Amino acid sequence: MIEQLKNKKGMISLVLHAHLPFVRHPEFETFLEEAWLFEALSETYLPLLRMFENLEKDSIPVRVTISLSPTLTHMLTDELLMQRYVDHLNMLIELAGKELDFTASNPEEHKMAQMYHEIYSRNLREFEEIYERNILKKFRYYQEQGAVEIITTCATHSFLPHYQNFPEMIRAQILTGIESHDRIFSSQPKGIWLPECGYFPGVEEYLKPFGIEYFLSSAHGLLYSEDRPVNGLYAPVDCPNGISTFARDRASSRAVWSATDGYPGDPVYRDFYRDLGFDRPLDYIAPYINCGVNRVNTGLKYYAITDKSDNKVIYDPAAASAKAKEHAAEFLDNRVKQCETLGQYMDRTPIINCPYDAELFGHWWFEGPQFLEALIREVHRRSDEIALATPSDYLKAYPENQVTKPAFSSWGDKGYGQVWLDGSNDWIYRHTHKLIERMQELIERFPDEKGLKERTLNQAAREVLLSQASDWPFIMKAGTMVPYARKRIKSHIHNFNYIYDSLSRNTIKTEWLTKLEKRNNIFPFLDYRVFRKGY
Amino acid sequence: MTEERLYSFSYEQLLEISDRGSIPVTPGVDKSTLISMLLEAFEEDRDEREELNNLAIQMEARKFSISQDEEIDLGQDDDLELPLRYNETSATLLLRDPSWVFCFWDIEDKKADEIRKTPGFQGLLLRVVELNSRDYSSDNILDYFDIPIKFSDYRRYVNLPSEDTWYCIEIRAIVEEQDYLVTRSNVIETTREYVTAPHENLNSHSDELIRLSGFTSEFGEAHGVSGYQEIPQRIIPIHDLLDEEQFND
Repeated sequence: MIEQLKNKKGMISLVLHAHLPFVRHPEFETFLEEAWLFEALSETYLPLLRMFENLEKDSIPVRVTISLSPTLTHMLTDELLMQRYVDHLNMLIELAGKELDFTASNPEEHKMAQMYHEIYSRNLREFEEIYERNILKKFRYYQEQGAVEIITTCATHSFLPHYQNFPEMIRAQILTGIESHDRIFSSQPKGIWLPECGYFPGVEEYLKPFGIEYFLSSAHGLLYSEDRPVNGLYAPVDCPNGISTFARDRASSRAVWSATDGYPGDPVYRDFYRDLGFDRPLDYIAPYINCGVNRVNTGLKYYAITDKSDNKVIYDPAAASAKAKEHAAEFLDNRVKQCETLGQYMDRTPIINCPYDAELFGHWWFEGPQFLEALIREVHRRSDEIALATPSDYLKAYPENQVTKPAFSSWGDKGYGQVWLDGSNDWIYRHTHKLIERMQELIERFPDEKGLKERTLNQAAREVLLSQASDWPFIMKAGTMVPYARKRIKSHIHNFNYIYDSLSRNTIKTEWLTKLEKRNNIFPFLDYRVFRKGY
Repeated sequence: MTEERLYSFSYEQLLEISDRGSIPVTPGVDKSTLISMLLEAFEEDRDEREELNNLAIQMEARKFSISQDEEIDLGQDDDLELPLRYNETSATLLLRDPSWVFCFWDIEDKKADEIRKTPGFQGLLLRVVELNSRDYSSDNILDYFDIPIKFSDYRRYVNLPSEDTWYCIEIRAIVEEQDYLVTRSNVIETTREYVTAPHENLNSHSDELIRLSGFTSEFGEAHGVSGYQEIPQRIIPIHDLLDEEQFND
């Protein structure tokens, strides 16, 4: 199969990065930001699994890389959150049921209410009966079937370039991410998604000891390498230590990402912004929104994008589905032409790398999973010309690659570290850097503790990792849900400092610690010594 | 925030929202005018945020999009106030992009007092030092420039004159026309922002393949990503945005 790849006009490497920050608040009955996970489950992860199931039924071969972040996989196996997801689905089924009555005199809207009632009922049924509240088992199954290659990312999705002064921290982020992956999937990942595609020269040295073969980079990270990449973006380069980097193709990214000139902006697709939570009278929608007063997206969206005005037409699922298939065929046709052109200049089969945020498919672009399914079917139909391949498939076909050093880069706005380091969020680094120094100081003072002190130190290590999530500075910069992001960073710093002071005074409060362990329960296997120099 | 939600707030709360969002309000306006002003400001802010972010970031932001403009909330998080500094003598340098670094520093109170009381003390300066290697030594200094700072300063963005080199910063005290090191930061390596020149013997089609990768620069010249509004502007949109005829050209 690998040898056959060399006979194609080109390969397409689809990489879906699924990630959400750790958000879990047992101290509240419900918590608004936990809906990030519930929406992603309903709109992206379950539809993706359904896509794999449909393709499997029709014996369509699939090769897709999926990066599942350790924070996400932890939440997807957390009993409390999965119970809350069930509650969330029941609430939406109730709302959709209420909508069936509310829209009885409006046939078009009534059809939409029926559609959502069916979607949420099916989600609940399958989540309980097929997946038994653990969708990761199914991802693992598809990996075993060879349809999916699951890779990992750093423990809490830290933007590594801003922590490059702290080798122990970078190793701890990578090691914890890999250990978390191994515990869930019983395998070592071949690749890693560097959070936000944040690369700095030398990061590959931390990957090598863990058997990582490749990572994904931004286009300019590869093109601005120390030596000119002779194949442009269409073949990986190897870092001097042998780790390969595959760079994002820009044209295929834009086609799928852009709301203005990409596919998701087509008028027939479902509109993301027009949501029932903002459309219905407050007293009617109150039980389904935040605290009964703060209108939020419910996920029930009845309208198509139509145009930029507020006069939207009702969504037509059949038309949207047909359009997704049309777009998938067009997308693939463009990739084949792209490969034909590239092939004139290359002495090997080009690979077009298409890394995307997984949540783009389904959550924002409702028809995204249908597009992907149609694309995979289309690749199968044109399998004499083009093939799906993972980066590790490519490396089996072409183990020898140009050796050079890529350049500092990210996939963020303007291409470097600006998104995670600007006036809105730069204040965090004085504190998060201090936490690492203090953690190392604690390890020197308490190199081999047992019992309560060990538990305390392990929790301190958890708080350090949680404070480094790239999501919080990202949210501060992007401007959505900023107060929550600020509170989260502050609370992890505060928790750590409280532990630091308690250990200094030798006054650990067991009750306080137990409560914190139960709340921030991520990485139960974590050993605080992971931050030790020379660990 | 919706219009309806804003109407649920008192006039004083609306003024606080405008204050927190740094939204200028004409004194004495009535409630409905104030709400209109807030809504307009929110919309402008939203549009600006969208325009300033590239596609990857816009996409990532939508994962967190549940409500509308609730970031200007009335909640308090003062109980978790963090220290402004840690009363220690240190300096840190972070690379933001090829041209800019962010540095933060601190001088321990006791040391600051000693410096202030040194006879002939004239002031503090931030020295940006360019090095020819990752290792600091006086022999490795290529160049430097100074920025006057005060004891109350503790962070700064600095524009760098050279790319693809090494930098560190120093906080120095000027005493009787001489300057003395107070603290030195880590050394960072800056990055290049150009495609390097082709090697002989390597694929002779690399110019074409780099063009097809979406880069329009004259090779060897710096055409930085950070100098553009967003990365996609630099794309030559090969098949997706050009029609067949243009592509075949």
